[in-house]
Amino acid sequence: MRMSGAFRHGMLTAIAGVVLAAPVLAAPPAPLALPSFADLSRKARQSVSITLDASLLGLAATFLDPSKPDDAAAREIITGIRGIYVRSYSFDADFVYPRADVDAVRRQLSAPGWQHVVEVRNSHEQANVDIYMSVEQGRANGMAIITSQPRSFTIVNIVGSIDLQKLQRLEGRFGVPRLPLQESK
Amino acid sequence: MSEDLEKTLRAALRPLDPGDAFADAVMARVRAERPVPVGLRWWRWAPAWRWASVLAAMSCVALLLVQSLEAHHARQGLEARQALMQALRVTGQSLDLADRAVNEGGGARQGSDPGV
Repeated sequence: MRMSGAFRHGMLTAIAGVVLAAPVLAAPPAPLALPSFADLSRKARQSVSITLDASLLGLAATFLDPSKPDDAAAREIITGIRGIYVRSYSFDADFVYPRADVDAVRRQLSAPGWQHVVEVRNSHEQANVDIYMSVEQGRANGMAIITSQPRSFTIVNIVGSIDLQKLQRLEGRFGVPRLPLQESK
Repeated sequence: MSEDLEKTLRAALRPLDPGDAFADAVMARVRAERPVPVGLRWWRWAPAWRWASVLAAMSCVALLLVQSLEAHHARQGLEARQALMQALRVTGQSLDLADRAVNEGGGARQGSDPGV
């Protein structure tokens, strides 16, 4: 993953604003109540459902090999994180998933403490992207990403202390290709 | 006189019922002295070996148990690691999608206001 300069700058600026406003914000969030999407697994071409609580993250960390770059990066990223929850589904047809369920997750993020830092509505591709941050005492302690397209949607919820600089290290790692066209921006 | 002696001897040597206890005692003795099969003699006559065998068997069971638990732990750990890497991959792809959507001119809003 290679964030372009404009996006990265905008996102970090937005997050910096959130962080500066942190003292008035509420307590850290609990993990989002994600629907089970049990029926969707049968309909989906590809489905990913990951629930990693603190104990599983700790267990995973012990099996990361620091000599491997991806493992070392992962270990750095998850330091301070208490949970990662992912639901991601891809389909062969448009809008076969219940958008109401995705909207229900969005509604949870309207609770106090969550800040809507990025909202993208791309009418051309019908792609919607929302990034929410929760901040406590000047430090991001929760993050939610919701992306939805006609044939796919993804919900990512990260709970815990998030170091945004480390998150940036996702670029070009974990099988996410760098985007060479954006290198010059 | 000889008749008295005879009576006395008869009285002294009259048959007596030894009772059930005697029979049980005899049978118990017979059982106790039954020859031990050759293959088990070492077991009977070498208690140190017997305890060593029991200890070895228990050690083997404990070792197998520990190995099984370790294998289970390792399997869980590798699965958790795989899930973590996949979660980070999906997170990266989602951020990438956001990046592309912003750069392709979608109606983007970036700010710190709670705008939901």
